[in-house]
Amino acid sequence: MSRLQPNHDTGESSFVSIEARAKQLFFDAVDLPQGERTAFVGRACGEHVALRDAVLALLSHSDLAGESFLAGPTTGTSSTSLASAIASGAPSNAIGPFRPLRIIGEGGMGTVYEAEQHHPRRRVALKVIRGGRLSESLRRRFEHEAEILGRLSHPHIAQLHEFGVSESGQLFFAMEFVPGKPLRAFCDEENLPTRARIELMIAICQAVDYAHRQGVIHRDLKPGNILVARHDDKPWPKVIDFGIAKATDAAGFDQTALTMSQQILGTPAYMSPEQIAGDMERIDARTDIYALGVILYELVSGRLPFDLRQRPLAEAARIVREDEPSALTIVAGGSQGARKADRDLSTIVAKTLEKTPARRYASAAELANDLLRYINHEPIVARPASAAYQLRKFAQRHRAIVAGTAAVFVTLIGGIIGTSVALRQALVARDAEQAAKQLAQKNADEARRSARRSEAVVTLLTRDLVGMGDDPRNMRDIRFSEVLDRAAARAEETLSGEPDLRAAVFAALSRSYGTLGLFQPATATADAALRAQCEMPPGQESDLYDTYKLRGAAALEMDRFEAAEADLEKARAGLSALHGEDDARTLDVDSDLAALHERRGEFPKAIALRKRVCDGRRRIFGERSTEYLRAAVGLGASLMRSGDSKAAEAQYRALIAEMESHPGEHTLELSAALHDLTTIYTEIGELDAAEVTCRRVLEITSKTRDPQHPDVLAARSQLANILSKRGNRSEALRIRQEVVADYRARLGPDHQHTLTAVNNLANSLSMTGRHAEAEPLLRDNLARRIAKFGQTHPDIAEAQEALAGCLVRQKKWSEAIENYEAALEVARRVFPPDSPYETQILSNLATAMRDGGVIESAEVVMRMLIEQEARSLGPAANYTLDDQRMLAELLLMDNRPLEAEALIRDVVSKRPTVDPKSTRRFVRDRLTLAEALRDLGSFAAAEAVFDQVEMHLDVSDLGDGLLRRLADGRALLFERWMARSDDPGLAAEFETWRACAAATRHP
Amino acid sequence: MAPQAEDRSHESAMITRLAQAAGAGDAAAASELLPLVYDELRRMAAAKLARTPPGQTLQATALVHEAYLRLLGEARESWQSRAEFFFAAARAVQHILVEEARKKASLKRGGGRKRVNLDELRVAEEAPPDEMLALDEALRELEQTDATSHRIVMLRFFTGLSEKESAELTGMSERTLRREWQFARAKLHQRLSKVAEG
Repeated sequence: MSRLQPNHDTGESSFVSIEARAKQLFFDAVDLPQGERTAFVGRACGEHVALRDAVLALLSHSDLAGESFLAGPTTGTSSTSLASAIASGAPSNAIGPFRPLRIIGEGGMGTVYEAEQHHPRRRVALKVIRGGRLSESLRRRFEHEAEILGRLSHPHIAQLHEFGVSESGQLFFAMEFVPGKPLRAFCDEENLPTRARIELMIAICQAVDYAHRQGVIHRDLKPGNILVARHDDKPWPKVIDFGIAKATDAAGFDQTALTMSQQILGTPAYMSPEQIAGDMERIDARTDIYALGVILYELVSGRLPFDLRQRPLAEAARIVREDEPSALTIVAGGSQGARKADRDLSTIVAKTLEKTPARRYASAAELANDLLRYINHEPIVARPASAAYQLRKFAQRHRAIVAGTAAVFVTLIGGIIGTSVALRQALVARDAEQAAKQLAQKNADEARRSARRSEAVVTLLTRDLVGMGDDPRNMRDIRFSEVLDRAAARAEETLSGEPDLRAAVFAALSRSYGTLGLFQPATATADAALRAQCEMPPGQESDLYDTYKLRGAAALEMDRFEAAEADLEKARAGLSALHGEDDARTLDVDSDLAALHERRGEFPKAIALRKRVCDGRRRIFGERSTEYLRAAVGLGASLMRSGDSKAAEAQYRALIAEMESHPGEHTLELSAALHDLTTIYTEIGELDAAEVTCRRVLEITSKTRDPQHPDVLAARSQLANILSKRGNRSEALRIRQEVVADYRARLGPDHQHTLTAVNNLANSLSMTGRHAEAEPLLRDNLARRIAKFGQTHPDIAEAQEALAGCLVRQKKWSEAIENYEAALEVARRVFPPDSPYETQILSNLATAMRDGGVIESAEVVMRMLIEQEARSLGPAANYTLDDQRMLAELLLMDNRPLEAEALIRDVVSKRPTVDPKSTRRFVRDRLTLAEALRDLGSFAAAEAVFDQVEMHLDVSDLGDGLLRRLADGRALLFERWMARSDDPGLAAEFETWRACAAATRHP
Repeated sequence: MAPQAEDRSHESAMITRLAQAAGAGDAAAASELLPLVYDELRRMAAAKLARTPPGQTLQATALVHEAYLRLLGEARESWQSRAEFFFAAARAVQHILVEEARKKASLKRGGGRKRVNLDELRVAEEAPPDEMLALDEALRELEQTDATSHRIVMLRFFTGLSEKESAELTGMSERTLRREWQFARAKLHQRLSKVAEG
């Protein structure tokens, strides 16, 4: 387990107070031998650092409180008075040659005492670290490390006098006793002006640099570890505890507790991203430089770069690793309140606080020198980050802030600048020189244009986004779409004289809106881009066609098929003429055109185009590229919608396996593929798999999309389908009502997706008996679809089928059958043979005919259905077998037990191969078999099967329906049996089961 | 003399009844109990002081135990009501000590030499007044966060009950009581160390 993972203990603390938990742990630990306590507490607290420190502190106070403490005010002997016990506060035992006088500090690692030594006679700060016994080799390692520390000798570093291991196995360090105040307290109490604070920092940096050159890293720099005293009336800082962390670590004892304490010494506020990530390998001098940066920030501004108070460690770690510090302000020494720090000081601080160690100052001396230049008003060496770098950082920051919109940002930034390939390379390129070379190779105009574009983008983004406030917490609440709106509103006026920039910005905004599923503004911004392009000189047609494509894609999403086709064809013609048939840009348009055909129900055309795009992109980008995978998912979708589930499922399984072998790389494509696979699973009745897959899709999409995004709505809709099929109708209904409302709000009442959602909602209503609401909704939905798509479209079949279902539930048989037949006709026209849609309609039609009393037709349709299922799903699939049983039951109704028995025996023998677990199917299959045997006159055999069923019903609750069927079936069995036999027991059985059957009717 | 004796037995019956009610969880009874025990202790102390030679201290523990025997000793009480009595007594002793410490502290801080009438309990003269006040504050805090722990300190510290007696009174095992006591001591030591430094 990674050390900084959120921990269950931490999570629990909101229920049980830390005091109560500390007390329990104190109880558990207090009777343990000294050497085992720390390790025990370390283990018990996990990463709950505050708890661990609390328990350890209590344990040490329990030891410190001598016999006499609280022995009672009334014992009367002065030597054991409350007063003297409290005043001393010191352990009775000496540690090494030192006698502790009083506690001056406490932490997770140990206790610091002011202590005295007799030879030589001096006062020391004695740091005692709790732990167990050391092995000889660890002891040598510890001594080796500590010896190096002992050689450090610098006027601003507290000297290490002695170190060792006490008799009870505690490590101790005796350091120069500095009678000073912690840095921050000193500065604040003395009200030092900024300049004096920076001078202190320079001295500290020099001391740290000296130690670094001796190969010693502090690893725990913080204001509390820097003490300042007045020395000849000048503030004189001394760094304490240099390298103690490392030396203690080297001793290796009590691994868990000590390694942890290194990470949480003090607060995470001073820890660099690599340190807080627990990445011990990467800790070096630059880790200290980061800490110096935090201290500098704090001294100058009076606050910390990140507000980590009250945050769990894991959250703090994330903030330190991902967020940018809030802007530096100066409060110290000034009476006029906080003001913005000047550019140079901000630049220096920013360089020390870089996330990547390589971007920080290479040494503390360099930091000291820049600070010196700063206070001497000389030019500093540190440079503010380049525009490109800022832009990348900006994107990173927003990745963190606006969770899930990373992809959008990449689109936005990539879109604005990326129209020029050269600049995209410049952004990617590590150093500016290389980028410059690449740029130089390109045509100079292009380069200049790109540079200006990037400037415009940076300005626009920083003014409109960053300008919203320096406090990143404010940024969290801003929706990304608002950000786009602001940018769009400003672009028109800011860039009025520069059509090419305006076109680029609007095109990028349009693309971003599109990604967010906001198609109205996507269209509007595409229009604006086209207007700008009309003002441009000729020669940039490629951009123009891109914009047509954008607008066409948005139109398609809004179901404006005519407009979409016009734009897309324009784009395709232009791009293929410019770049060729097989160019990536032409293929992009083909992909949109395929989607258009698909939406119109023209599947062969859609599939052909999808295949073309797949092949082309595989050739251009390779098999693992996002571009190819997206196309492959698209092909799967077309196959599936066309009714070719088998091909689609194969396509998806392969794709998903491929994408899951590279987790995190293709999230959006993966969720699209999983979504479609869910649909397939639902259709073939694999509901467990469907639900699992669907919940994964929801998990992925709700992380990356806003809750009304069409992708999320589609996934919620799917979940409702699955729940409904599983019998959880009320929950399904609830989700569907929400989804319909969201679709109507987002896409309008006549959008294809809205109509589908309404259809599902009406189904849910009807299934929960609310026919009066469902039926008009369904009729209206059918009418709207006919108006939109004409008579021949997959959605028409769906609407007719749904309406028929609602009629069936109201026992309006003939009208239901009519609608099913109409749906079947449409489905046969729009889907290929044996499609799951056709199967489903056949199945419903057969049931309606049977229940409506048209037995003869029902039989024909059922046989058609079973044949079709045997072809498409296989002869032993669950649905095939279910329908075979249904036919057997029909034949029994028609008094043809011989045929029925053959059919149902086949089902019973095949069922265990596909579904050995389902009790419900087991029971139903056997009930039908028993009824067939009974009707054939094989009473004993029938009774044996009924008995099997009864045993199953005993152990599982399958509802009254099956119980009643069992009782009725058996009553009838014994009634007939009695007529043929003299066995008196039969009459008794008959009475029993008749009573049972009656009981199931009147419980 | 007769009416007085009657009064006392009336008082004693009252205290017994209140201790029983408080032991059964009646908070109002517990709060009524305190002033009665307090008065009784003062009365006993005054009587004793009259007979104690000057310069000798009176031990609160002895006093509390004596009071207990006088007031409740005859009745066969449940441990809960005995605990309530001792708790009330502990509070009374604490109150007396704290009041005394306040007086001493204000005297120390100046305002001239006043003759202080120490006619009540002369106990714990070694404990400097500031520390008694600090302890009082620390105990108040402890009562807020951990009532069990607080109660045990009260019993052990102010009435001088032994571990065994305290365990019996609180219905805890001796082992649990010892741990509670260790915990309370650690907690108070921590709190008071902070006070001592700061």
